[in-house]
Amino acid sequence: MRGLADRYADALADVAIQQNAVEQVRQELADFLGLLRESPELSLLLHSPAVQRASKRGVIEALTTQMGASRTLRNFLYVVVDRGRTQELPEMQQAFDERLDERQGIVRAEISSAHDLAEPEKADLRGALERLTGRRVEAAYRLDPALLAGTVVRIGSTIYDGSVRTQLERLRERLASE
Amino acid sequence: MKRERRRREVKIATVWSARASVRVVVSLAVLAWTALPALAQEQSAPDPADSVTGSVYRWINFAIVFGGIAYLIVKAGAPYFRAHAQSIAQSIRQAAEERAAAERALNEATQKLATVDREIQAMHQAGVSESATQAERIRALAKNEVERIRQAARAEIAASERAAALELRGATARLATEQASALVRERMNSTTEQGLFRTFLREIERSAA
Repeated sequence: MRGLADRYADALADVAIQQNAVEQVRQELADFLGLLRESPELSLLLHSPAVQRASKRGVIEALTTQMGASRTLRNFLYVVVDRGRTQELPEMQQAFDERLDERQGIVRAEISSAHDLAEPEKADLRGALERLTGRRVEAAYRLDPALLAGTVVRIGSTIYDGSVRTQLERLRERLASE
Repeated sequence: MKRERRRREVKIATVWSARASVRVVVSLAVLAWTALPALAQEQSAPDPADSVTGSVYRWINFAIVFGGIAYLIVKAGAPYFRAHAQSIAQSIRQAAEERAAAERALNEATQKLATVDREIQAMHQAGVSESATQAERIRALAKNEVERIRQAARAEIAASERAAALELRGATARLATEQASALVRERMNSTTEQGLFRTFLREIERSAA
């Protein structure tokens, strides 16, 4: 199923990059999915096979106009509705973000720490991560007192764990197994 | 055996023929004796029949009558007596066969009776042997079972010991780390935090290098 979402995301990324509207389309897609999440009626209408395709197109037309969304997003949504793939829109959005990041050489990092990091520390860490990945790092910072002390970085499925909580946990496991 | 039976049958038939002849002779004698009073009355008056010629004729007449009667007796009685003799011989033969069969059965029963003691003895010995084997087998099984239970108990005790030790170590480790966590929370300050961050940063740099 992810392969299907990847194909749709690739197509949308191609058009967005071609029209130089990457961030706009990304934001519009995120907004539209936010609407879908907030309105179960809208979600039901778009997902239901009982509703005519023309009616769905009309709803999408009205919504994108009201949102002030680009024709690129509207046409993309038309294609998705026509093919009956509205259920896969969240996966398409995720794949689209990943494709864009990949094409723009961006990697997203989630950084958790027990205490707030100072700006120089954030810059140092981002620099180190960029040298590690070889790509530009877009970091999202989060405070997590449960770590006791230290920092945890998650890039995709890779985790760099420098927290005291994890070190104590390893110590406990070693003590218990000896 | 067969020849003996045949010989016995012939002997029985001969005996019966002789008896039949004796009966015929006795019958004739009785007949003659009953005719004597009539002969005595006739002697009182002279009769031509008392002459020598008459006597001859009377004897001739007697001989003819006697011969006829004898012929009739022999003719009609012989087959009867022969059949009767054969029937009796058949009965005797059958009786002999039955007796022989009975004797054979008796012999067999006697022989069996003679071997019964031995068979009982053999059965008794076999039973004793079987019982001993069975007892030995049961003893061996019981021994194996006891050993198995003992080993299972040992294994269970060892497993329980290991589990208890593991649990104890786990509890100790948990207590130690909880205390360590409390200590870290208590003694953590910005300097220590920065030191930890720098160490983590160096590790990232080392990975990048």
